Amino acid sequence: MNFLYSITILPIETIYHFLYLSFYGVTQSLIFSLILMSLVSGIIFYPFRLWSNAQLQKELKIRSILEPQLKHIQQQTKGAERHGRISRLYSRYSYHPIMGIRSSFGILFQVPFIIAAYEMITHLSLFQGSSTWLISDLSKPDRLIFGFNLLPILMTIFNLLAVFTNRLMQKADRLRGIALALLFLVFLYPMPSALMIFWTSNNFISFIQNFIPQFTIPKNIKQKVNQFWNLEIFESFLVLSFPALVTFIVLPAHVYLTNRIEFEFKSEMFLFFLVPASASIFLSIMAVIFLKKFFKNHFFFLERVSFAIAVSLLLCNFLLAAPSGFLDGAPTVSKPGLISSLSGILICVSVFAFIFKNIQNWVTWKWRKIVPVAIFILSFFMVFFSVSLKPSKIENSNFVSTTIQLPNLYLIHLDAGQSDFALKIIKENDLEAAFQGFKFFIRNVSNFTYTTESVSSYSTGKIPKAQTIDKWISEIPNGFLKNLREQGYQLTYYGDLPLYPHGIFDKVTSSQSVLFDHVYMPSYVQVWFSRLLPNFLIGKAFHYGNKLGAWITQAYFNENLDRLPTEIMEGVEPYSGLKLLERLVEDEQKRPNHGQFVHVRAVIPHSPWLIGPNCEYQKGIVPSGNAPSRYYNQYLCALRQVVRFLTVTKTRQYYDSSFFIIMGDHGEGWVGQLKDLKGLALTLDDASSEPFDKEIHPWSKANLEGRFRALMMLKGPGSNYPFTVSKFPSQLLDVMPTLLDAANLAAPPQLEGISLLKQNLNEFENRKRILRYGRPSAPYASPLHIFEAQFDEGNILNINQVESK
Amino acid sequence: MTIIALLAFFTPSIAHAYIDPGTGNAFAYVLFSLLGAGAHFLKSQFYRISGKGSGKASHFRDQPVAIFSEGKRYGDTFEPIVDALIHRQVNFSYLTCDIDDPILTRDHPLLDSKYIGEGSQAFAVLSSIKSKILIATTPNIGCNGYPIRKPKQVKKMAHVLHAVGSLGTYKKNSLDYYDVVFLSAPFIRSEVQKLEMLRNLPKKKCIEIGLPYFDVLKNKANPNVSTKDTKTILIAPSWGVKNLFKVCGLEFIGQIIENGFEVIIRPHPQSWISDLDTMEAIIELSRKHPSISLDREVNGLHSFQRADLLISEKSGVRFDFALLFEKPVLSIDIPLGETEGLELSDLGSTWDEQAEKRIGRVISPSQVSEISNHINETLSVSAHSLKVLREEAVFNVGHSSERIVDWVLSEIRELS
Repeated sequence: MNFLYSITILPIETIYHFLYLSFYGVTQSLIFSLILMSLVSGIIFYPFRLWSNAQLQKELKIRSILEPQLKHIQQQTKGAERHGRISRLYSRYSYHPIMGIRSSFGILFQVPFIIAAYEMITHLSLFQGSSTWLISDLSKPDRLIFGFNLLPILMTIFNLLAVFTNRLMQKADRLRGIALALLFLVFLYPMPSALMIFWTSNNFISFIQNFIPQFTIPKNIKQKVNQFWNLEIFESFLVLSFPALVTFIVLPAHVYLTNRIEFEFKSEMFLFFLVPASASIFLSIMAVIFLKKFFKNHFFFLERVSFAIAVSLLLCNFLLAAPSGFLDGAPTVSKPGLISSLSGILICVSVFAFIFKNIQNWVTWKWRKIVPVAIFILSFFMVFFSVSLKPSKIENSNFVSTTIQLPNLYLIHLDAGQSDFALKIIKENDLEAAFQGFKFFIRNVSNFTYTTESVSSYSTGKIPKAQTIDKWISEIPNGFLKNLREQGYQLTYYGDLPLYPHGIFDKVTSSQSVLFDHVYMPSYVQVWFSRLLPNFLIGKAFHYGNKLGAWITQAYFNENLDRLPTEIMEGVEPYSGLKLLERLVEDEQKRPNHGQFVHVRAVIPHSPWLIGPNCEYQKGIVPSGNAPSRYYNQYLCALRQVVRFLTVTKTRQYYDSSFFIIMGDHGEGWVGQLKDLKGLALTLDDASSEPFDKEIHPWSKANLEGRFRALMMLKGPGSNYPFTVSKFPSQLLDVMPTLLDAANLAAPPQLEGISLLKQNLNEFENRKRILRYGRPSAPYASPLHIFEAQFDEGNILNINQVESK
Repeated sequence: MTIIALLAFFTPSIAHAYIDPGTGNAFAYVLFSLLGAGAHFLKSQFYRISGKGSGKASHFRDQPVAIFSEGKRYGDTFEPIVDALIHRQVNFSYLTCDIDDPILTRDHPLLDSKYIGEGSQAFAVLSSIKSKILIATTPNIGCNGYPIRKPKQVKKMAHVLHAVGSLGTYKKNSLDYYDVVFLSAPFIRSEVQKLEMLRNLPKKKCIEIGLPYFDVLKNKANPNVSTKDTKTILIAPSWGVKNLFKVCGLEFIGQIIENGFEVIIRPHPQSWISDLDTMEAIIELSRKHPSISLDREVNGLHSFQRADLLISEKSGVRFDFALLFEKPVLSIDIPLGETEGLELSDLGSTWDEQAEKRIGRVISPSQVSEISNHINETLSVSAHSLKVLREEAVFNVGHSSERIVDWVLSEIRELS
């Protein structure tokens, strides 16, 4: 089912999602965008409706031919003879009663679209709490008439009007239509108003379509279009500009759209590519004119080469894309796989062989024109989406005091912060005093090995049941953020945005804003460039792509990058994490002392480890020392910034009353585990079983054990005891119940963790914890890769594969 | 009951998806079709198990002889052949692309008729037949760039001509892949041989058959000469930019009426789609003048019967009119235009060019201004000369279908 969903509904849902957000970006109206989306759906479905009507006419036609003959047979014969003659009659007309289904195909074809729209609208966090016109919350029923819902009634009226005005419907069809309309009124009555607006609009359009006469294009216009369509120059232009289109629009738009939130919707980064795109298209026109004149004999050979290059590029990118779409740095340390490289070569060879050997008559081969035209249309939409997709809400840049008197809550997430290293750093650098009142959970585990999964689980307090990671991410706003908002907290965020829809937080400080405007341009160009080159050259592509990107950023955006990291390998992520922490310290000077929830997600001490213990950084210089020592130093820098921040709260005298969680989303892993914590070593007994040895990274057992060892230390309001190390078996799923506890909120019953502020924690000493490792893109509902962690009696952490869950 | 069934049908998924009335009806059609199909299947199984049979299964692909028809417009060609085959107890299949083909309504144990769909679907079915003999009117089967391939298992593919006259108006290579040509007249043999020589093609078998459709029309036609005082002129032009009205205008019709003739205008069916402006003017003209009548009937026999003379350009209908009804034709010599794509370009001069002078007069468009004189001259052509011409232009008048079956039976014997 997951697979079916992924290949049928999900792509359509994604298109609806982009379409809706693009319309919203342009109109800034939630309702009007729904109507526009409905209109586009209506236009797309119109040919299918026509086709469906044509099928229905065919069915009616054959029935009108068969019925008198059937009647005649029925009058003259009975029993086996009658059945035999009827069967022969059906056979003569190549008909079978089951063929009545044909007339329904066109309409049934729409069902996946309807489900996709339903899924998209009901999962779009933008509607939650959004009031517009008379509707107070688009994610809830409208309650417009004295608490009764108006929209379902309106929808039913249009539904009935559509039934009565459909000329193709016969009496029985109408009766069915009326029954269904009433049935749906009952079932859809409690649906969210956003959904009802979409369907009311759909029904209105379908009502209007009943009045549209069969439209035929005038013959002279048809002729002119045909003449243009068959113009030799036009055909050649299409083929020659095809690679340019793929290179400078399709690929950059794809990279931009998949990373648009991380890029903070800075569409000018993508728009830059329209400069080379326009130039290339102009050059294609020139090339057509020039080559047709001087290389007439070889022109079609060049066309074939051009076509084959473009198709190979498309296929390699969308079938074999290197895992570089998400800019997390992983591909930069992975070697290109041999299988991928060979598959890439196979695709290219197959495409060239097909174009040169299989297609005898190149000039009349219809796909020669259709494919480039389809890519032109796709490009148009990609440009439209890239330009019009905007954040749904611009966050406030000022702090707002709230009336509630609850203590400030701070959740500081240090990416890849491993617990054993943190404890060693705190002890060796005399930071214990700075963390007065903190309890350090040395046996804490992350439930997942990657950030996306970790953030999604600790933010919602649940192990996901959703089918895809995107669905799961979309649940984040419904986690503790929702509870805290309802409690009256102002929500502030420091960090990268991809996991959070815009509009959740009241104030956001992004990674880019603390560096320079187009901080991701070099990485963006880098990824785009890597997609142009064969897989086995990916290392070189990354290197030169980044240099090109840095040059474009300086030349096009006029930003000086001499001293700043511009790519992942230069440490742009930990450096931005450091700058975020510095901004946190700065902002803390003016933050209200109550009613604030502050969430920091700094990508430090995450690799690469290029920042020194005193937060010194020199572009292009890798500090001396082995990996664990450089990790240690970068981690020390991060913790020192945290200490600076805590000091501000102490100075401003709300340290005691505030609540702090300082945590890692997972351990580092690559630096192993510290031997001097041997007694608390984390072991995975079943680490040789799948998917352990099929991980995307070549994890060793020690790596993986370290990866689960996530930092967790917290200080409750009023705690003033000395820095304490606890051996309680905590896990990141405990974050949400603990936060809610601190905010004086009851934890929802379905949460899988417990509040670490509980008095009776010792009752949970033998609790089981869930660890999961697997490919980041693996389906999350899959039960295969769930492990449970437990302690044995000797307090030695031991993880066994207890049972599938 | 329906509502209850639908309620039961939709309830499980209702919370997840939504359907509008149109979609709901589509589901209902699916449901009813499934029920109908299920009942039919169960009945078939019941009769099969009980030994009562469920009627002969169709083996249209395996019949020794197959006829392929593009549609009911070739009914006059194929119906007499079908009748003759049944009369002579030959098993055969009849494949048609037209669901309205009346032959499909016939339920006969020797006839395995089948609607094979339209376009590529039909062509795919046709190419899969295993019959030894295939009879068709369709030109260019098997040619490069044409969608219909010659069925691999067919040993003899025979072409039935369906108009009086030369092969000149056929598209180039029309008969190149046929093995047999049913000759309508002696001059066709020389045309076929000329093209074979030119293209270095294997020799085709040429069988003297005649024209089945001509036999049908001959039975319906009554060539009695009209005795009424006022002569009736039938104007039956072709369509498009080369049609008589576009080239010569409509003024000449007024001249014909002024000279005391009655006029029937029978536009080409395509003109009602493609030449709407001209058709509007014609309707206006017929409203103004009671002596002009407009014929939009599918079958032109009635007008042919009424008329004393036909005015037309270079169309095949002229020969039907002249040879069936023994009445003269005034041909307007409007060149066919680009003939490069036609067999005419390889054949050079054809029988039609000489014959059109024997069925009446041929005038140029510029001579249309004096059309009444030309009509009077043309009316003097004798019926006897037309009878003589018919003997030259059509073999076996009245017996062509029997000749076809004779050949079919001898071929079956030879091939088995």
